[in-house]
Amino acid sequence: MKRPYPTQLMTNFLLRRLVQMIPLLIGISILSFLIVKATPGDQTMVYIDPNKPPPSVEDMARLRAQLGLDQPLPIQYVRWLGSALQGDLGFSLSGRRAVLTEITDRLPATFLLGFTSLLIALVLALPIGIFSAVKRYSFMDYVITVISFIGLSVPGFFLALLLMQIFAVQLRLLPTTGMRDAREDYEGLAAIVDVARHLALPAIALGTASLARWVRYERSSILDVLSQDYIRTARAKGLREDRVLRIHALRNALLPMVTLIGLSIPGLVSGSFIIEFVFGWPGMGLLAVNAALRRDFPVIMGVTMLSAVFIVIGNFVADILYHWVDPRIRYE
Amino acid sequence: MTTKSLYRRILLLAVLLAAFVFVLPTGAQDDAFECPTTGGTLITAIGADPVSLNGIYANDGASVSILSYVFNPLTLGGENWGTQIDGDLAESWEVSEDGLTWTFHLRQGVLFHDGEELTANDVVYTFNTIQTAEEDIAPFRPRFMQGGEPIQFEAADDYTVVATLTEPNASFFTDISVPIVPQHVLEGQDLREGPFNREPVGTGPFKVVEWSTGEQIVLEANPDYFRGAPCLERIIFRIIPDEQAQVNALLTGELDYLPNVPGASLAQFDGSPDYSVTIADTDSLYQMFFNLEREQFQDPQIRQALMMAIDRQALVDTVRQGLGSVHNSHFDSVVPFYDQDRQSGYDYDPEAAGALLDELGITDTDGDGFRDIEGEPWVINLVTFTEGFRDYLDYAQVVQAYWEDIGIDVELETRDLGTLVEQLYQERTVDKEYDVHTSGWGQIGPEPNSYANFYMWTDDLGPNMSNYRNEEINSMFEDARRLTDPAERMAIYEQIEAILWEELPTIPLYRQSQAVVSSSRFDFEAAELDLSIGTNFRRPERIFEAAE
Amino acid sequence: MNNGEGVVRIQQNAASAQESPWRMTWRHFRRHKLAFYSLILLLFLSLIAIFANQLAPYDPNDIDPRNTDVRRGFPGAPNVEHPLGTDDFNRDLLSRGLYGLRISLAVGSLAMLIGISVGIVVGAVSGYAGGMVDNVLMRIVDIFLSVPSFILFLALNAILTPSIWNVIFIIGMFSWMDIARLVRAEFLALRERDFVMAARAIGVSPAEMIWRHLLPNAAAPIVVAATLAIPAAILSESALSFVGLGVPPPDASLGSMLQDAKSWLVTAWWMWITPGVLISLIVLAFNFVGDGLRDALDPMLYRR
Repeated sequence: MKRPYPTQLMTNFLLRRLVQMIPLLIGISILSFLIVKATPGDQTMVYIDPNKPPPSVEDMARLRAQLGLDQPLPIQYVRWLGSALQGDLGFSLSGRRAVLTEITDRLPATFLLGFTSLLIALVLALPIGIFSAVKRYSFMDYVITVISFIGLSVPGFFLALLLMQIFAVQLRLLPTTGMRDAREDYEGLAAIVDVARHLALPAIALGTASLARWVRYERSSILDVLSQDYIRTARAKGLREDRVLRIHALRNALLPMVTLIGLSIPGLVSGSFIIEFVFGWPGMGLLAVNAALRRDFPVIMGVTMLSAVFIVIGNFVADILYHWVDPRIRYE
Repeated sequence: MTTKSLYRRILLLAVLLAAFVFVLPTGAQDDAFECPTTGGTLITAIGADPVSLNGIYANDGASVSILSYVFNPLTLGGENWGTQIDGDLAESWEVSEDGLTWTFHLRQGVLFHDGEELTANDVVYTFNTIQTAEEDIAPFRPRFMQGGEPIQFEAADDYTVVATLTEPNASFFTDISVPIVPQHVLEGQDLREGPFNREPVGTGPFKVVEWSTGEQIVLEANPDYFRGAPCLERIIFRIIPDEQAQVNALLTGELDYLPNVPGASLAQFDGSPDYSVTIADTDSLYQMFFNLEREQFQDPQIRQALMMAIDRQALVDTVRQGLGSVHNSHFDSVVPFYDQDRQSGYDYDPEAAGALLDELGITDTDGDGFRDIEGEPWVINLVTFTEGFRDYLDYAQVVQAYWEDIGIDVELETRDLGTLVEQLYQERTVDKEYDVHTSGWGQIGPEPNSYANFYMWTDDLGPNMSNYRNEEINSMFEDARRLTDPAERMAIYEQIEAILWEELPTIPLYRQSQAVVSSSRFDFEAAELDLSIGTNFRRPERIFEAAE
Repeated sequence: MNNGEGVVRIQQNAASAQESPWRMTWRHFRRHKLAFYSLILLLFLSLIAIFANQLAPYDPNDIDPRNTDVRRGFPGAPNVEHPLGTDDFNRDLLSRGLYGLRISLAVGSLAMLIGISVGIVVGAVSGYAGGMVDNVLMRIVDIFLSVPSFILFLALNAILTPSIWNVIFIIGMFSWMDIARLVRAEFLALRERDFVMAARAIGVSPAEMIWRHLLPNAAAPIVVAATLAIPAAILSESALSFVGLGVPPPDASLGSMLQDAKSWLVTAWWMWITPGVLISLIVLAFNFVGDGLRDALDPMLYRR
């Protein structure tokens, strides 16, 4: 089946969506801003340790004034927006660095982890899902189901600790935490291997968590397709079984895959806090949650907007992919 | 004698004198320590990145752990600087008769990590910055003020610092126990946003060479350290947020040292030849705070009953697996007059507690199983931190169980740290939103005046979270601070201690002990473990890796 | 015959006029042995959860304060008095497990209901109506996906006191987006089918279109989504309790029981066995039930 070239309708659609992104992102930023401001506590709480005498009232008031926290909300928002549009995301009080630096520092680690776990899930889910659909109700189907559910059947932090306990502590096969070895300074290939060894457990923990979901959708969707009319028509025509499967079923079975990949893209940027926390992986998830707990407003806004951009673009791309995979899907 | 032999005598005398001066250790130069081995890397872990490594601003746990290796204070014994009251950069000091003038003599030849020598100007600069700098908040500022005005500091010469007080203050010595920063580096930088926060320069035994956010902080030995070059070559702090992950890393050898291994995991290290385990007491205190503005807590007998209802030893066992001690004072155990057995009277006795409440007329009048006050159901709103912040949530649940056991309806409410900080710790109002709160502190130090803030009433409120108002206590604290004779001072503090014990504005529960576990490869004997210091050791430069 | 499933369905129904679609679905479901037994298991678990009060031998939060014989601070191994052991606070794990089961199932089902309802409505309307409506609704999905839900939850907990209802609400309100997108995708595909065009030509109203014709055909992925949503919600609650925002202590869900077991992984296995096994059973059971339902609802599967 040849893909039709984008029609004028499609181009209009693309342009319209692109243009809508701006007000959408602005809307998200305003909402996020309001949510953060509604939470008790502000950036200055970083100076207060409940176990030590707090700073004086004047000092705190002065600091608030310097940070612009005594201004009315709309002004605070506009100031943030103004700087942000110029590329200045502000200064992180809990990290003592520019927010942009904080983010760019952590992003590669999160991306690496997210991408690897996505790969693991993808590579495993397709064959498992197909097998599960074709050999439905067989013993192997059940076994595979149970195994693929190990990732999903217990909370993430527990799976992470279990994996760490088995593979790192008991078997000493892999390191427990971190992204790199502390004692040795590896270079070149050795460095890559080192990171790969540190990456293994967190990626498996993260990947298997989504694996089960992917397998189920995959299986469901293949079963769906297998029973469609045109498959039966093709079978009736006498085409070979696996050709039937490959050509027709796979194409349409890709649809939920596309959705799921699309849904996972923002995760590549926002990271998984729990996995990063347990494995000490220096990523965006940790950054975001710590910023939230410390009310580090510029970091929260920076991370949120970064995520938002990816979500909006991700959904946009997913919509395009839908059309590409199934041209019958049209947008008005 | 001949002129020649006279000259020879004088020469001999001069040579002897010179030898005397150069060979004899100068006043505070301690017994020289020979490193049995040199080199090696010690790897430990902290739970989060430090906020800043600027010694005069950073106050959070992670920062303090690290900057104690990087900086030295003028004097020891203040917050985070141990239980010994002594000089560090100050070699000797004098106080004038009237107690208003303090003179400190600095060690000479102390070098910063960039090679410049430490002088009195750096000390004065440090203190002045704490007092006046506007771009950041110095948590120690109140300690450098008197009557709202900054204390005068002056550099009389390169190695002498003179402080002029407006009224005598015996705790002044430990109040100024803060890291000294180099003027030539910090001056001209923006304190809040400048590079010093991440690249500090100090005089300490180690210097920061790498800070990889979220991963680790690497310290390297400072060979010019004034107490002698460190035996270790490097100390690395890995950032591992999860406590269990830290324990696991210690088990696999990825870490060499952890100062606070949870009691639950201790069994895995105890008895193993690969690890040495030390249980050390700490300068800490965990309490229950009453909101004394609430009517229900006005009567001290109610507070006493509530204390008797708690089995404090069982609480320590439950929450810390026994790694702690029941605490019988409102001052930490490191103050000179602390006596574990002096104060008593609140042993666990639920029957007596119940009887006391019955006497006061607080009984179950409506038959719902819980006591009522004046016909109204009595509900205690117990506010604590959410999971993960020290042991507060744990012991709050235990206290709830004990109070419910004597028929009190306790509503446990958890709030996250930021919310609590805003609502309870920052709010300068008398009307705070809680009935009872779990709170505490640590590493405050041996100077009793450091605890005054928690129990004194001031108009701008502050750490006295209970809003405890007692004129007598207020004036006693102030008197004790002004006196110079230690015996007189301690006598007053003991009286304060007794009154607080009687009145119970707060219920002291326990102080924690920590299980310090390290790889047997390292020897910490000479380093002198002291958990009240940020580094955990009085002489961190003496840690060495034992020869194979 | 080649006009699509709608026509086939009508034929089917006409042929077996005695049997209602529900009966037929049930019959097909029962063929799926594993699904059938899983359903039984879930019913059993729900039953014991409902009767937790009566079944639990002890108060789940009781630390037994006056008992001085017990070794405080360390979990007690299973014994006659406590068949599943006790935790480090000396609370009976069997009782805690029962109540935890109840809390987890409640949180899971209620959060799922919120999420599925909102998700189906948004997805169906969006997918069927297309155009401007679709656009606006999908942008709302983007908004929900982007705003910092963690902070919103912190704010919510600060303004209202932390409670299990906050937890259910938050999990529900932030789980509908995935369902919506999936339903929408199905509807977008279904919309172009012949039988839909035919029905539209006849003049069937949009509501009827969605309810009677489109939804049943999209039922398969929705059912899968719903059955996975319950365990997902249970796991979300556990993730929230990891950061201290789950069910407020001293009550515990299965997730927070696992959280408590963290420090005792090696030294007190009984602390995580109970919640671990229960959660896994729930997840697997819901999955098999979902498979069974999905297969049973798909009329085409049983034509062969």
